[in-house]
Amino acid sequence: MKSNLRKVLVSRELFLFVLIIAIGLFLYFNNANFLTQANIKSMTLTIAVNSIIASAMTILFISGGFDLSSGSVMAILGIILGIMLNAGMNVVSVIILVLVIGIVIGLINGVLVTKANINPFIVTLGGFFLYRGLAYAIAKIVLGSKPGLGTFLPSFTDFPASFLKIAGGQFLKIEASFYYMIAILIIFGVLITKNLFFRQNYYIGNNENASKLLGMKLDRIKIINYSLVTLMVAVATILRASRIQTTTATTGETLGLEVVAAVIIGGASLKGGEGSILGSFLGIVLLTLIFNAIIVLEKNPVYYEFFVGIVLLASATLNEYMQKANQRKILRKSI
Amino acid sequence: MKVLKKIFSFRETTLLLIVLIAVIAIGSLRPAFFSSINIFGILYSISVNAIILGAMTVLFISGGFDMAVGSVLGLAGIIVALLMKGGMSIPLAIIITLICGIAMGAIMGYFISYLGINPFIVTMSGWFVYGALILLVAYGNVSGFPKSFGLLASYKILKVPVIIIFAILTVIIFEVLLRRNMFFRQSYYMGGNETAAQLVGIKVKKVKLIFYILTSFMAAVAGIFLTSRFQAAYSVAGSENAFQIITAVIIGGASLKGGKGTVLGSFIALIFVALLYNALVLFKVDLYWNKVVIGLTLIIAVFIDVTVERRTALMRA
Repeated sequence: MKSNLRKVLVSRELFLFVLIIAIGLFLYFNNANFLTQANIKSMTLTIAVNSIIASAMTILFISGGFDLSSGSVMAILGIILGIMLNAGMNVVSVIILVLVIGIVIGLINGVLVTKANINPFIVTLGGFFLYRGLAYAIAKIVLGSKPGLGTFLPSFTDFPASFLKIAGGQFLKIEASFYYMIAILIIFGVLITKNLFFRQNYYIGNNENASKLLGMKLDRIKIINYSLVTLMVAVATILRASRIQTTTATTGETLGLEVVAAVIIGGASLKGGEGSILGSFLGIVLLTLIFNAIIVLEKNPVYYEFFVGIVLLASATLNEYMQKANQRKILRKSI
Repeated sequence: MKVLKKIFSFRETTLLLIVLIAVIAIGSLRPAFFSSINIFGILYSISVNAIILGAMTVLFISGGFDMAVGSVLGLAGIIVALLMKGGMSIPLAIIITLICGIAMGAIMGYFISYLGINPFIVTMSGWFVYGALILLVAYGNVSGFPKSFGLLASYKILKVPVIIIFAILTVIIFEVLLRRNMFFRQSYYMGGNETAAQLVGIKVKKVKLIFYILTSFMAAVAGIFLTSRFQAAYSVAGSENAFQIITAVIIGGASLKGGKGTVLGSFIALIFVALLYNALVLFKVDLYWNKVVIGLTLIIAVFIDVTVERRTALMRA
């Protein structure tokens, strides 16, 4: 019995899968609203958006990096998107611009971390505030100039129909964002396991000095990782905006925390060298289910932040414990 | 000339100069700066942060990091308010709140020091978990407790409110402790080289835990003072404080890696940060730019710190 338990725990992904099924069943038997189409639809969008970002974040974590600012980047990109679409700009140009700005933000992060040698926690913590503030401020500048309404809503709507087609449709009753997510997950999954360039991240995460001596271009790879994360945030922003037809400066208040938590739940370590795309995806599903449970059971939504924080801490502790146990195993074998 | 060079070799002098320039710049462009309302406003906001500042500086010097102080502050404020509203006597409410503060710090410190989890992750969890507790324990803002509690912060000795006096005393005490007391000076060794410190006999794990407890304790104290000053506990209280304090500590000379820094430097830097915020208010800048300022000053502060460190290291080599 004990060895079976151990086998489940040893495979992080299996453990998460079992947990997800458990929570799913609990919700199914406790509330009629759980398997309604509306509920599944909203969960699908959240899971799609979050796991697209989480897959890039996994690669960043494997290389030893960290990014807390995803939520705020989504906010500012969304605002820029809204402004441009409302101004009547050509949809294709808008999309390209948003993607490019997303990459630029990531480039800034990457350069500050690698060339200026600033701790990634601080860089992205700064970004967390900076971009959120900019999102509100720019929205206010653009919207505040319109007379009338007393309360200020920092959001944009009224997007052109061609934009809404991007993620607005469905295929086989499943919405478009799901398919985008699958595609991106598969691409990242294949890249990180088969592609030589991306596999370097495992080496970098495990032993930076050795990687440098082996000739790996650390700075370049890290900058690419940071840019990839923000690029995925841009993609996610576009998909979400296309699907819910709004962008607002308040989006993603907990997104940064959620994605980081999911990646750590999925098995990634902060020191680097570990991580799995599937694990991060399951982490996102788990967190989304928890959020959904809180909403569907009509509890205070603040419980979500509470639980994410606790699960994050628990996962980090578990990861640490397993890493130390593994090291002990390796040491014992070598003797 | 040599004396001048020696004086300026201290970061504190440069910081003091920057503060003076800032005061002159703001004051000349907005004379309202010198009004007593404004000055007291600045002093009040500095006081709240200054109470936590000393402990945070010591923590940073030892190589630690704490993002959760804002939530601890807010939660302590809510707890003390709820206890008093529920009829508990003021002294008992304060004591229990302080114990809660110690507990909050102990939990985080345990995970960081004894379980070896990254302090960013642990204190980030603390930031969100304690922050969520603020909204879960009380529905919004709490008020309606005895007016006498307000005296804690606003009782005036020689026309100066207690909270300001307490804050300045705290800063002085921590500065002295860091210069003279062996226990606190251990932080420099721990920050410089943790393994070496351990080998020299410093009980690194225990001391680290104590520093985290101390930081959360002071945050709880600040939270109690804040509730007293406003005669109410607000759920948003403390949300920006953590990052103002962290920025101040870094600008003041304590780098993230630890091993250097002074409370005096942190305090002067705190004055500068407070002036920066005050300038935003005086120049009628939109509230939303506050977040932009927090983010930018944090990154710029660390950038300058890292660049200066690199230059000095290169110069020495």
